[in-house]
Amino acid sequence: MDSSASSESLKSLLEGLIFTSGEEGLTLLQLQSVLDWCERSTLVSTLEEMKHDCLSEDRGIELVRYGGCWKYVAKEPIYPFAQKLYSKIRSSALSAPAMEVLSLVAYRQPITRVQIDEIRGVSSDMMLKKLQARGLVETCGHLDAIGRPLLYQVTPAFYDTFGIESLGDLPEVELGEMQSSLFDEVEES
Amino acid sequence: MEFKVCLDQFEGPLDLMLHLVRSSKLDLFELNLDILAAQYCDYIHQALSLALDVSSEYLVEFATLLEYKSKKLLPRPEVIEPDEEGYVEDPAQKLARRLREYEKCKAQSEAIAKLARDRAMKLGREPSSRIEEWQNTPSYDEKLSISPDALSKAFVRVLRRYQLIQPYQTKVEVKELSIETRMAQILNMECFSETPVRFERLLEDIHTLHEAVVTFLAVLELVHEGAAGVYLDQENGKDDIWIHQLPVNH
Repeated sequence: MDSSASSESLKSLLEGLIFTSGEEGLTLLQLQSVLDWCERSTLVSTLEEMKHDCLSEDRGIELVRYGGCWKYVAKEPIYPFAQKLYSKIRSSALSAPAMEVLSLVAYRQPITRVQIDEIRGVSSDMMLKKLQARGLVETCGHLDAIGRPLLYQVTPAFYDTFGIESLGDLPEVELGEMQSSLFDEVEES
Repeated sequence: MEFKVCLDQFEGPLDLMLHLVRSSKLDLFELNLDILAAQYCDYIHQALSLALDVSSEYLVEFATLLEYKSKKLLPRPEVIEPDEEGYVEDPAQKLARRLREYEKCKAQSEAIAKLARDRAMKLGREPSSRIEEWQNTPSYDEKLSISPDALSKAFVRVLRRYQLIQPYQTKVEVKELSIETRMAQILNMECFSETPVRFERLLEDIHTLHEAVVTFLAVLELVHEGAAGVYLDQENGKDDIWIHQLPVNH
């Protein structure tokens, strides 16, 4: 293998490899195992560059990293046209209760079912089972408490479905300001 | 105060309370539990009076709020611990905290729902089997291109399935043939005369065991009344019963 590959050909190698992986995408580790003459940092910077190129150039696809997997997706303006082309393009969306449970797991993981129930005020047992069946939520051991309840966390598929790299990308919800001042008040009084 | 009672639109009691807080412009940080409790209880009362199915989660909160309201009615001796000062006990604060927590949860769930919607707009390169599935446009106005034979076979299958699904229905009817009626019938029979006939001849117009029994009993009755004579022919290994009419005025 030509270890003196220029930056330009590294781009084309990466592009080709990621293209072949399709919907699944490739992790940095997988890419590095093939392109073993490259530093990981070089790969990352090249990928970031490619991502930037896609966005700025007049192209229909973009390079994304969801949950650590790099892959190509069609840009958003493509969607309405694809919708005309393919009749049944989307799988069913999540219901509002399912989204509530999922958001609790995502923002507060690892979390037990009882903790979820307490916040929602209703039983979430079925919802958790459905989310597990859809592969968005998984168990990750037991809480060290009475009854050793199961702990739940989101799966890699979650990152892809929601288009984020890590849980740090979850949007901040602004309800916080007044809340903190209130708590100060309470503690003072 | 007027409510449109519809519990289905809420995810649970907290969602309902949050809705009540918003619609009556209550402050979640200085929660007036009296107003909220009154509204919540009204709401649940209405739902119950409409015989709606109120799930237990709503009733738990309902009971808690009722307890709160009834406690307010009782005169309470002021024995508040100096340092706790209602901090732990205050149900309004406790509920407000839960409501804020739930509100946050709702906001977060809406936030990630938006993420999912945005993400769904960016199509990946799906496995080709998926693409095929997508492309498979069902067209309902296309003409059917199947042979009449296939159609008729399908129809037979439908009928067979229909038979399997339909429980086999039958009615049991007991035609109550009384001995008296049968006696009259026998007397009216053409074959029943002074010339002896075999018993079997009298059974020609009947179909059930019940009727055969009745006929037999009718014959016995006729013999008893002296209207018929009967003898058994056991010659040559036969078991024939012969019946003949006897003159009535004998």
